[in-house]
Amino acid sequence: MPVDEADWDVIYTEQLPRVYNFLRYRVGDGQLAEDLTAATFEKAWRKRGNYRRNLGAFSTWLFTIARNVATDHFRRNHRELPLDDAHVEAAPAHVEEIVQRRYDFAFLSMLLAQLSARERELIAYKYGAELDNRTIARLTHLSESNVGSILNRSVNKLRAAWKTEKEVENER
Amino acid sequence: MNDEFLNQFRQQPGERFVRELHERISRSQSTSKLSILRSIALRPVVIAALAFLLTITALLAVSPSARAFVADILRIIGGIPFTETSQYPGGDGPAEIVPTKLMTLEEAQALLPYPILLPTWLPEGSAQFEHVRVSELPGELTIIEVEWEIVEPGAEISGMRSFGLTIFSSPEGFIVGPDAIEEVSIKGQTAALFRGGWNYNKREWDPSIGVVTLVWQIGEQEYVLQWPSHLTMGDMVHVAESIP
Repeated sequence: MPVDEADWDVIYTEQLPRVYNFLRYRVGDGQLAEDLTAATFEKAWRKRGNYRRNLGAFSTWLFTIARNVATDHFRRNHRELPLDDAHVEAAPAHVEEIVQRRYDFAFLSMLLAQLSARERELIAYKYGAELDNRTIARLTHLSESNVGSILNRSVNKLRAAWKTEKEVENER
Repeated sequence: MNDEFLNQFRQQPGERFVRELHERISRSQSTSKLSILRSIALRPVVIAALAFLLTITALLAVSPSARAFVADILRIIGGIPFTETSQYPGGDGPAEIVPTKLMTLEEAQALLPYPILLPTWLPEGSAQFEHVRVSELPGELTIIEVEWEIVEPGAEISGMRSFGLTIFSSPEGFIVGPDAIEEVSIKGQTAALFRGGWNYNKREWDPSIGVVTLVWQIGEQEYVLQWPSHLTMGDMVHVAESIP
């Protein structure tokens, strides 16, 4: 049975923030993440007749669309976040917390841009969309243990770079 | 796994964004079932999905330094200039994002003093996106993008089978890789065709990028048809030649 219109508002409310954050962690830019989120939901709405409940959770179907939208974006733009972006956007000293937060996210985006596409995608699923490893494995056609390994390796790399940046920041 | 630093950046999408997207989808509910079929039954529109090429074009339009960065071989094909170069034209800074507006085709047409010409033939299963993208660049350059997706009957998710047409209000040049351009004929008129695009990460022309681009002029406007390379080229030409 396809998703019906009565379900849509519930799905929209529940899933929009998760898809939005998946895409934020994927593309690193708030406005762009909104555009891709909109594209995901518009596409899902148009294709809701294709969804069959007996084939899996709607969220899995939705995230497959979001993944395709993100992949399509990168294919069209052939662009990942430039490595220097965090420094371009660096705020002066004594900034307010919100500015610091933006800077931190820009820096994290820069670090994410240095990971492989698969590592970035898994990080976005895990920390942006808050999906568990089993769901991520289904979406990416990897084994659950493989997902865990890749995530562990990716987090270690990110944490090392993050820690170094924070130490440098504290010395300024 | 100490990963708290990765958890702290989730945030709620903006209220206005959430509201406007919901309204937009709600408005489309009454017509969305028709949209899958109307691309063939009615006269459809084409859109191009060439954000990267547009970015390069935008750089050419607004940035003298970008112009100076490339110099190699200039070819005029069908009245449109193409620069063939091995030098990546994007520069070192972040790519320039051209702001776009989403609107209906009718709304876009109302903005323009010239007609938006659309193909009268599309591959079976083509579904037109409900909105077109409109970008207005310095120098009174307006870009209209219309896009279709080919929906496979029975497919759960259609995948990467979108194609589109971009219409520039006036002829704009392209920067492409060395020997990338082929001259072809569309209804007896000279057009340029190239495969691939600039690879941002490698900073070089990448013919393996799975898109084929066809550029030609109709009247005073420039039409750019972008097509997934794994789809039939004959269909691409058929779409282009069906534009009146």
